[in-house]
Amino acid sequence: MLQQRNFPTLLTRLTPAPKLWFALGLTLAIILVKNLWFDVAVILISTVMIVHEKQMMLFKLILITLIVLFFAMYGIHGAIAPNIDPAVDPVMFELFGIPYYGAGFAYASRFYLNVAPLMCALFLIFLSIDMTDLGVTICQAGISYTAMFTFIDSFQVITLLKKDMEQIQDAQRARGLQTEGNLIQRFRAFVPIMVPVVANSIIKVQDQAVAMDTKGFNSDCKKTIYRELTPCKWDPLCKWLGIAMGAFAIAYKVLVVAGVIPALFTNII
Amino acid sequence: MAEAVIRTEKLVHTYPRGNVTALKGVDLEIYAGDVVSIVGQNGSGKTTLVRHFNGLLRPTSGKVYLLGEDTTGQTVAQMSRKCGYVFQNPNHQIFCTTVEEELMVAPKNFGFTPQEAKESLDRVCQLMDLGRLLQKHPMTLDYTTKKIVTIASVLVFRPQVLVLDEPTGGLDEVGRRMLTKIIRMMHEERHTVVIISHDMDYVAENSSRVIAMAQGEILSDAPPERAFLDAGILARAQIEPPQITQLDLALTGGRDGSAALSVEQFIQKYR
Amino acid sequence: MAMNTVDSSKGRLRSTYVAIMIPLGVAINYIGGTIAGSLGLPIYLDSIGTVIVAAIMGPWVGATSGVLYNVISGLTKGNILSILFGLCNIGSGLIVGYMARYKKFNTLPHVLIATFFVALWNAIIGAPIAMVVYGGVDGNVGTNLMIVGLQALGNDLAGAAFLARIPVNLIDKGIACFIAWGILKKLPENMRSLSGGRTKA
Repeated sequence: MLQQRNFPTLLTRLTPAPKLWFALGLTLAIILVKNLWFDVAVILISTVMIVHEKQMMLFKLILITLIVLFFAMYGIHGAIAPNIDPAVDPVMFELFGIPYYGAGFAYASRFYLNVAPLMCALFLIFLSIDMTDLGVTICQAGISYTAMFTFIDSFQVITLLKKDMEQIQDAQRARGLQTEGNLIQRFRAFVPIMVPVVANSIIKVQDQAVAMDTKGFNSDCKKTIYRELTPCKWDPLCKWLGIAMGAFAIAYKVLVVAGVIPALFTNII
Repeated sequence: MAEAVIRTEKLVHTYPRGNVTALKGVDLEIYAGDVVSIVGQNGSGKTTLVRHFNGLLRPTSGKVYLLGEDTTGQTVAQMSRKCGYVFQNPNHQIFCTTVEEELMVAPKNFGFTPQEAKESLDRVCQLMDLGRLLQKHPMTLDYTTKKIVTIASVLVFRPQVLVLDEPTGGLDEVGRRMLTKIIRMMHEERHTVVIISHDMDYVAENSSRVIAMAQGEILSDAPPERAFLDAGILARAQIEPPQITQLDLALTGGRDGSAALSVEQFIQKYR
Repeated sequence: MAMNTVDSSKGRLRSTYVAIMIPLGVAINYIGGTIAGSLGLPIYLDSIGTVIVAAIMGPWVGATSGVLYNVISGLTKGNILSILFGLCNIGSGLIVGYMARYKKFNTLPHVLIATFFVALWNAIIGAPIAMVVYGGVDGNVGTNLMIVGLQALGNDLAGAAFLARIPVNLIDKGIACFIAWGILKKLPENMRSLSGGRTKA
């Protein structure tokens, strides 16, 4: 869950727009260029930065997902990837009598090395973005206020609903609801918790809609943005680095596909 | 001396998030028939303390005994059967389509036979005048009635201890009188009521004991006529006595060792 | 609480409702997964919000809520490619939303039909997305095991990825549809539809 962290690091001093450009450029570079060393470098640098920013607790969930994905993708694709030709492709090793092919390993790497560096890098980039600042950035980019509000409000509502859910879970447990035990018992506990969560939130929606309308949410006049983003001296570098990476990746891919240049940087087949 | 219905021994609770110690070694005994009000500013540890009574929170260190039994190893459901908890926001508990179903949730969860459940339902409906509302959707009720329904949904399984978290918040006069009636009935039946409240008027008129808390500690534990006398403790707990008590104290300076808690008592005293 | 005489079906108040309900659908999707996780259930249940919002507010609002959930989920987890799965949620929102609009999401048979179409849509759209993003297998252990089994029976990876997702989606989306329908049944009439008609006080 994205939250603001009040530590004055470079990452948090950067304004949202350059970070978004950087994220876009990095995404394009990882997906289009497909260079193993670049991907590994992104993973390593991101991990170091996550540790430096003291976000390992939040990163644990992502790490678990990456580990599960690793075993699933490499484990399964190594044996049954679509590009494997058992007659020709070399077997790397056998596990419990099941051959593991190099072609399968390469196939799995094609996808895993898209997902893993992106998850490591973008997790921290988006964690360090302040939601209010992001809203300002989105508005300044010309997106409508209503669309911006809808997007930003999602993050707020998740946190509020989570708090409600905890209260409701306690209230139902206080009336004897079993939240432990066998699967059926636990499944039966889902509705008594979920219904009040949803009903409460819909009750609030009705009041909130009137409150917002009476405060001019739907007014025709241009909305005032009173929050000023404090620019950081590294903003231009971050932004142009992202744009350069993205432009290079697109140009490289186009030229390779068109046959103008060989796939110089691509070493993940 | 009768055995305590609720007893805590050096109860400490530290919330892992933020490393906040909300209770700092609380020793407390509550007896059958007590109507105890726990008062203090927000963050003093009141809710943290009472949530140990039905197992929603567990001690970081120390012990909690409910009806003489150590609560370690008891589940929330087992403890809730003995200690009912009515939450502040009634919307957090309602999830059924009729009031009758809502009142039957706890008896079903606690394994009441259909006969027992029906008798309990009838008793609570008679006590709280809910008979005419049984087929209504609880979410369409006004706030006071919803609150009464949630209190009824806990009373229906006759817990030995009843915890009420801010019971008077949002209640109209009808609701307050209903609540008073319930508290008196519990007291007469030697059941125990624990109230968390900021409503000092209600606390003064309806409690047999007032426990003032601040920063995770109990500052004082006294009958209400004495609880509002110590200005130092009141300042630390950040509470103000009822207005009529303040008037009495201003007139007497607390010299007679007690204070009027209601308009009737004040009139009686000065007639 | 009242608010019952306000016509939420049109005009500017409706757009305010839309602006609030879409994030709510996203949050309910999140919370559904959180509750399922805290109860130790083996399913994720991250479509309940999409279905509820689609039933209450209409198909396109539900679809938007669904796709926004995937966007936010992708951004917060860093897995930006998973945003493509928003196409699955769009289908879920549209199917349930249109069925609800024409009063075809009220009874058990309706829910079964909705489950079938939503599961089919998710399998048809989800399988090629999984091929593009993950090469066929993903982090879902149940799906992966079925893919392995189906490949052992002679299916190619693409076919196995599609076939494996049908039962998984039937179960996951089916449970989500049933739970959403159950929740909607428990709401009072004035909360079940904010997309049309003046409601009574």
